Amino acid sequence: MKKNLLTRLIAISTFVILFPAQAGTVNGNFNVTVNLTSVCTMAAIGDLAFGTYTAFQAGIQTATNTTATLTCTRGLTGVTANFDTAATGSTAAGAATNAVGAGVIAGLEYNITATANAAAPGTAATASTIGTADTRTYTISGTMPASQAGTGPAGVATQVRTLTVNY
Amino acid sequence: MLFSSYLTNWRCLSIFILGTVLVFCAHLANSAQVGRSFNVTVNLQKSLNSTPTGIFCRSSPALAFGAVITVVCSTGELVNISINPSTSDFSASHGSAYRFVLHDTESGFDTIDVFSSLGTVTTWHMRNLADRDYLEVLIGW
Repeated sequence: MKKNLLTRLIAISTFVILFPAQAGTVNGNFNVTVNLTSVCTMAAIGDLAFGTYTAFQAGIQTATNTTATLTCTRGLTGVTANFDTAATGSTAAGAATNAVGAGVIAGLEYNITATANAAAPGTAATASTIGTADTRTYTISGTMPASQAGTGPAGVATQVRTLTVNY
Repeated sequence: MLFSSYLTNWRCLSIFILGTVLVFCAHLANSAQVGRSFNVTVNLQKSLNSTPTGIFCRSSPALAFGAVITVVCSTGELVNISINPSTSDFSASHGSAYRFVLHDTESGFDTIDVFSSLGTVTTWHMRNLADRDYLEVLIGW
């Protein structure tokens, strides 16, 4: 009985030695896909304040610049901007790198420009970090020609304009 | 042969136009906008161009630095406020305006101008002498 068991063990051992397990690998490729929708968000824009304009004043009135700040998907190209024409008497050039427009407030003609500044690039994502967005800014400036009469009543007037950025 | 070449060129052109249209449409489909409103503000003030009553003098608008300005009084008198040579003081009266000197009371002026009244400052000089400084103002009214 013992001899029979020993014979079996020897046979099995011999088989294992002669025919070891055949280890191996197999690869399968697959695609990682995503449909990225680019997005820009724009922070609130401060007032474009022309200050005090005295009727018939001799000099051009220059507004204090304000800034539009956008947070965008990285690497956007072909970004354009334009002003709206909703306010009575306002005009706007077609979408372009810099937005150009004009308008009338309190009977005073004014011209406005939104100048695109160089985009501040965000950081690229890595396998362990998510990266950061590009930051784009537009400097909005305005001027009022001299020698304008204006339309009463005198005092502070406010008009709403909109800057649209296309991407 | 010629007709075949013509067809080939036409097909190439058609494919190019179709491709361009497709690319343009794809771009439109992916374009997006973001907008923000902002306020344009101004404080309009009426100019002081209303005609005063009584006897008054008024100047022409100052259009630019160095412009020639005339001052005419309601009496028809033309006030001479032409610039004084910088090397000399105003005389006691300059045109129809009077000289008024703001002096340092301890500077030892020999004479004190007595011509003073309500008026409009038209020009002034800051005089810098060896032993004193004083402000010389030309006033018309």
